Amino acid sequence: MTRIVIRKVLRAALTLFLVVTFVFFVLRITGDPVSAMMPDDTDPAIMEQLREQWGLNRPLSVQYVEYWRNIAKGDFGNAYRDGRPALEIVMERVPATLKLALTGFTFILLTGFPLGILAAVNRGSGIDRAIMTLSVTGFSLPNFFLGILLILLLSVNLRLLPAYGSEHWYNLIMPVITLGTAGGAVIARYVRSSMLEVLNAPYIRAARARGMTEREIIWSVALPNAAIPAITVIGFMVGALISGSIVTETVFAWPGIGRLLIDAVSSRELAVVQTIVMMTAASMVLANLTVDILYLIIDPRQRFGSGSGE
Amino acid sequence: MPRADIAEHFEPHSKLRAMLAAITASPGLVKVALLWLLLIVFIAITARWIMPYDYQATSLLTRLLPPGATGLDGNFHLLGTDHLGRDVLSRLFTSIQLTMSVAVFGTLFGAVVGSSIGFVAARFRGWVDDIIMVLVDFQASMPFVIIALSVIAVTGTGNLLLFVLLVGFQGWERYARISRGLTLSAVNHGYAASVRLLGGGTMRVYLLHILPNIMAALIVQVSINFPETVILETSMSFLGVGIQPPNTSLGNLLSYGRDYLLNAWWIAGIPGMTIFLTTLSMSIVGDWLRDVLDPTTSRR
Repeated sequence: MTRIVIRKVLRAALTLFLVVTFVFFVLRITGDPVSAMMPDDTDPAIMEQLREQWGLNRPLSVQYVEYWRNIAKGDFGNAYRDGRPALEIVMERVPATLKLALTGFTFILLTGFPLGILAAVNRGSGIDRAIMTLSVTGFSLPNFFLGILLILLLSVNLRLLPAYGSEHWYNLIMPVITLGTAGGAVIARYVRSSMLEVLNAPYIRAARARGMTEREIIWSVALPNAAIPAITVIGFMVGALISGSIVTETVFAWPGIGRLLIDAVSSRELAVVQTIVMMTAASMVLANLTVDILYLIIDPRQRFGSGSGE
Repeated sequence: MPRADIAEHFEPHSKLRAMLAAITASPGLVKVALLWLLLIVFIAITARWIMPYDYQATSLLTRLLPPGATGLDGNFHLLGTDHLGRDVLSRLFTSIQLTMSVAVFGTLFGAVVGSSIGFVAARFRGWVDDIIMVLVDFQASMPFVIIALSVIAVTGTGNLLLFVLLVGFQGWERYARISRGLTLSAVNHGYAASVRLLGGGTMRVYLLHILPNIMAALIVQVSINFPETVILETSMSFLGVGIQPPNTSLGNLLSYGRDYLLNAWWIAGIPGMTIFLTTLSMSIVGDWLRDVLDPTTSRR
């Protein structure tokens, strides 16, 4: 078991290493960051001075080592507009995104699991079909359009909720639905198929033969077994939540990292962009690592056997 | 007539017939979805000729007209006009054209590049394979939109070709994984080895013998990837970091319309509905295609 964990940790470290390397090279693909960041009509002398100042005229290998050294110190560079450290600018936005993402995650679990179970238990019935139709619809609905539909319905027509704002708890309702619908739809589909697989397993027949009621079988035998593969999907969900929050925060003017990223991309604040990319990667890698290790703990089959994780 | 000739003569025909038979036997919902996609493709191809007005022509006299209204200048606007008096129907048509072109070219590009990478990994094995698989794992653990955004941040917006390639690149790792895995098992099947024994070169073995055998799996992947490409492109255009004016995609239309939700829902509502119906139809058709092409997979 420790060997598998060590391998997973090494793989996570490798991914992080690749992210930093990727960002380093992307920033230098188009020549140099100075000409990418500065307006085209900037005085060449000033550009040269900036290159000197940022050490961009040194060999790439030297810059690469220097880059790592700075990141290790937590120095991700300064924003070009106001000169503040990029890390500081990003950290200010973390709480808002965290609030949105965690609520969205809860929403995904609270819709996906019950709907998936309900569909599996009523396989082939009208309920099953209705839930699966809902799932396909939710999955195909682009979140930016869903957000606009919600504003049209709840803010413009029914006047129930304000379209923008982030101070009150009810401000969360529309962004969370926008962020979580696609995820909930995917989880529902996944839980359903994983439940159906389990319900056909021999140990369910054995449980039935022992005289367990259907309700007991579903809740205490089938569900725990079906939930295991669903955990892997939850790992993916972190990525979906991160990319989903970019659109959601823009639609609802939510003051989080996603909107900051779009602003930074439009105004080419490269220091801010690279900070967000690395933080996103780090949280994704951590989430996947946690899921992998959880998986090992919950499902003893993973610890032995063929090491089918590859 | 020799046997081989007969087979050659009839095969394409019977394939077409099998396809038609499959469509006729499909559920009603699939037929409706196919019909919608057909309409979208028709619009995408003919947009230039069938749109009633110039999609860029502004007119202050006809601002924010509701669908079905006639402007002061006597022009009829089936889907109304936007905040600059531009005809929504014409803008919708030209946007469908651009969105679908980006999706088609992007998806094909990603499919070809991704599958080729998988072939390379399977062909050379060893350290080439290792490096490719590390990259595949890396891509699978990073949201693609973040990577796309960081590239756009450096290159700036407005480079259409780069944007199409970037959007299309999404999902390359899945093609690579599929083509690598299937190629490895195909190589063990013996038919590839026999072609090689007969003197067929690497390209011949891969393109003429292995590729047709793993095509079904790749097509299924395309059917999953295509709506994702549409959503990625429209999202990025919606966010202002994708297609730039004067070009317009369905995502752009939505982002303009967002500011006029209160008094002109149609500016955002109609293109939004178009994207939704299109991705929904693709999912429905994709699901069906999966069942038809691969009877071994159970419906999820």
